[in-house]
Amino acid sequence: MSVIDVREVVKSYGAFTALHGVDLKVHAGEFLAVVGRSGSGKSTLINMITGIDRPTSGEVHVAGAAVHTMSENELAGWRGRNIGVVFQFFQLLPTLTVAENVMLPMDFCGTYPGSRKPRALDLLERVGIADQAGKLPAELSGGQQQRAAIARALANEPPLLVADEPTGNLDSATATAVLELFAGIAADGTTVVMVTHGREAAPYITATVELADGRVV
Amino acid sequence: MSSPRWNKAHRDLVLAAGRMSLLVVAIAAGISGVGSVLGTNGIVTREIDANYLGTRPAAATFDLDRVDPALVDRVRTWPGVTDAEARATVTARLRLGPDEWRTLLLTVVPDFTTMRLATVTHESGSWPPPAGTMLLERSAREMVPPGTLEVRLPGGTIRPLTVSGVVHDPSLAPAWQERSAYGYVTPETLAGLGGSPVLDELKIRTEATDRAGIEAVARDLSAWLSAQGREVHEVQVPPPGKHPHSSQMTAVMTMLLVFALLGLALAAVLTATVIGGLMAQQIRQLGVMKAIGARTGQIAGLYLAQVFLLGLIATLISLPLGTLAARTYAGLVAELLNLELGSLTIPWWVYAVQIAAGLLVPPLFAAIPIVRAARVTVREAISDFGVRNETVSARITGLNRVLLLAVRNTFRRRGRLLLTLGLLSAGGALFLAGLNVAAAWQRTADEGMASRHYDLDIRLTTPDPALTSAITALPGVRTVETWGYAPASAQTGIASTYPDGGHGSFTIRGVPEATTLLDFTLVEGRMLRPGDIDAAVLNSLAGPAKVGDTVTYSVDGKPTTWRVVGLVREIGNPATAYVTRAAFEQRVGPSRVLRVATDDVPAVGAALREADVEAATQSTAELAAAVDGHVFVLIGALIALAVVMAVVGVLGLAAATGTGVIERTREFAVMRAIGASPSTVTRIVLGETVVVGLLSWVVAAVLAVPLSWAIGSLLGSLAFRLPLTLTISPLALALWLVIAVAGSALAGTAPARRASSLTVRQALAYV
Repeated sequence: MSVIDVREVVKSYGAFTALHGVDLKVHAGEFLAVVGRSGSGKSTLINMITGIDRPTSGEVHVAGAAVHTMSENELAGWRGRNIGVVFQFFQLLPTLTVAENVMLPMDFCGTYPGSRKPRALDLLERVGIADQAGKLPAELSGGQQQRAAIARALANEPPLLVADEPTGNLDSATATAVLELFAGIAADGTTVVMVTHGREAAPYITATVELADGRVV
Repeated sequence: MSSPRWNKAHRDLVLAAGRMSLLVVAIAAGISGVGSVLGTNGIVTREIDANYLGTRPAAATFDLDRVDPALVDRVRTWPGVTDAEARATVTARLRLGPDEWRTLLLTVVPDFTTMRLATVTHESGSWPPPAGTMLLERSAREMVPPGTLEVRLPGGTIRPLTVSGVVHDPSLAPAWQERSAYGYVTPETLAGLGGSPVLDELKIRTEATDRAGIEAVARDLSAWLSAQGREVHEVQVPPPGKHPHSSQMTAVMTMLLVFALLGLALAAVLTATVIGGLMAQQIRQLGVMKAIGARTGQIAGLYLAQVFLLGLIATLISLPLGTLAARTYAGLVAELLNLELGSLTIPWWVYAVQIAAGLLVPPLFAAIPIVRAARVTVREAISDFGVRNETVSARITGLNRVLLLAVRNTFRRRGRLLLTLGLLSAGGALFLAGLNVAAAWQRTADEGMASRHYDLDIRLTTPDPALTSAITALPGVRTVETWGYAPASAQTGIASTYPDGGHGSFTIRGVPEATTLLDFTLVEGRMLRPGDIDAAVLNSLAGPAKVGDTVTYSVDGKPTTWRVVGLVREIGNPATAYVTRAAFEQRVGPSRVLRVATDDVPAVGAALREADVEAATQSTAELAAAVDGHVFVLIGALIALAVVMAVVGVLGLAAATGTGVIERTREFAVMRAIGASPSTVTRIVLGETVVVGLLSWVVAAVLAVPLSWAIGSLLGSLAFRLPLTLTISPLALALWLVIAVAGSALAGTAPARRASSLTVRQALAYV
């Protein structure tokens, strides 16, 4: 069964069309790389999947939900439970400790009451930075911050993890470590969709979709 | 509350401690303002009633030829009457200096030990006053010289009188304010002063407590008294249960409350602006929170809770502050109204209002920007770069580049500019309006005085042409006119005069043809013309009446009917109907008032005493001082509230500028990177705030005009029954210019320092 089912999605911004009827199916446990040049529509496509943006036409089904029909508020709660989002610039909240950042999605979605703290520490253990739990993000290196962001994305055990150029701001050694982490997560059964324009992900991914000018090539 | 999101809310507040403290100060100022006005009103309203009703004021006073004990006993059993007592009131003169005299209102009490009506509270000295002595009303203590006083009854000689004790009579306005002293004597003492020991006032209390009921009893009794062969000169029913100054008090409190509420609203708008700015600054964080599952309501709740907390802290600060201010101001008002504050307890509901206002008003105002910001979609939040298209200021050219940048920056965030400008302008407009209204009040009072070209108003008991010639011949005397004057009452035959004879009184005055001593400002209709026999011109307090109405006034129990031909503005005189002197003499009685314009007031006074005539005089200077005495507490409070507004406005600018600078940290870094010196950055930021300050001056000056007019109308109508003349105080405009420029420069100082002290690296790294 497919975790992601994108059907004939068109996205226009005024006169500019970012996506021209894109179809995409992704199955559970896959590690999909979305590649293409700058402006090819990669980010727009994953914004469709996460519900961050809405298609002009077409349908988006993710984890059994018709994303294109949901309201902003429905989307927020749904996204919190079903999708882990990882940004290029990490986007940890600067005034919360690393552990608190990881607990935040559970807090907003009301999940794991009473066991949020141990769960956050487990997740940090899993991404390898349990010793940084009590620090503020600014005290962490870029790689550590991205690991914390990945732990946060996994907080509600979502079936899907979406990452927009997660290694774009990291040196190559750190980037490799992060990719290995994603591969491990996918191997454990969580679908991972990652936007990238580098080739270094090739050894870890199970599928690739390439976009050019808003079309799958 | 130790969940991560509340930790975030808490730490954000701590991080923005400077701005948050500004908000707490502003909200606390707003709530304290409301609390102090409501608290003062609560204390004063209660104490006015307690004091005034505590004297058991007479419901009605009959001015008769004489009142004997048998009559009093008979009236006590009259249907509807619960009590009766005899009194007399004599207007004497009290010597303050070699040639300085002041009115002394003597109340003659037959038996101090059985006083039950219009009582006074004994404070010190003897009780009852031994023969040859008087009890002095406490508010006159500082007015009278020490030792034996010299007192002169109308038409009498100077006699000695000592003060043997002090009493408090809360039914009287304070002596210093009315420019007249009050004393209480026995009939024997009055006889010793050369007065008649006959009592001529009958005071009653009635079962009825409303005006109609009291008047009904008074009318029946008056008819019976006339039938018994008594001369009923006048029946006075002052507004039942109301202190002579209670309507002015209501006017003042209403206006102060309006100002205080506007101040609170201003503080709430400021809060909304700053929280809106804070959220704009955290827009990416909002986006991330939404991306990981936060709903709009959860985010809005976080920020609303912050505002609620600020309101809570401000409330905790302002409860004691408002209480202190209310008690202090109530003390001042008590002095103004001659009240004894039995208790300074503030009614519980005033605290409830403050708490409710502090906890609800800021979140209510802030809800608008908070909900708007919380609704931001993840995509909008992630792609927000904080720079908008700007077209207004792009057209401004020809300034030097730093100034140009400052001006253009000012216009960049148009929404915030409008809010900041609105805040500072609203603060400024209220500040200007406060001072304008104060100036308008002063001007109205001054104009009232300036329209009087006479220096003395001499009321004789009988016309005295010889005296008139003697005064005219005195050196320094420019003009002497003879006017008609008679106390009167409205058509019901019952006057609403208070026992002091001034408050609530009504008079008919006969105006000499071609008078040069009084200017009338005609509001409607026409002035009096020679030959007018039934025409009357009314001043504003004599209303409500329209031109063309027929009015009936009774003078000495005798009704006279007049046609209203005009309405005039007049300040400082009680309700008056002006008629021609010819008509007055023909229909009311002989003219017995001399109005004198002179350079030498004491010489006229001396001449009056030498002539040994019975006269009551009032100098225009004393009247002016009495009018001023009524308003200074009001003007002081207005100015105090105006200053609070100005402070809140400047705080708003400081907070908004702070937000703007933080938002543009990266931009300043880029400027520094391409060669701007720290001082250039400072000048840009300061330039921005001063531009806002100057703009606000213009907007405030414009807004202040309708505001001053509206407040002046309300206040004038309540106090004088006519709107205050719209007055723009140049001093206020100049002051606000200084405050706006200095305040905005001050508001920009901290943010400018912050912007200029960042290193390029720090600034670029700032997210």
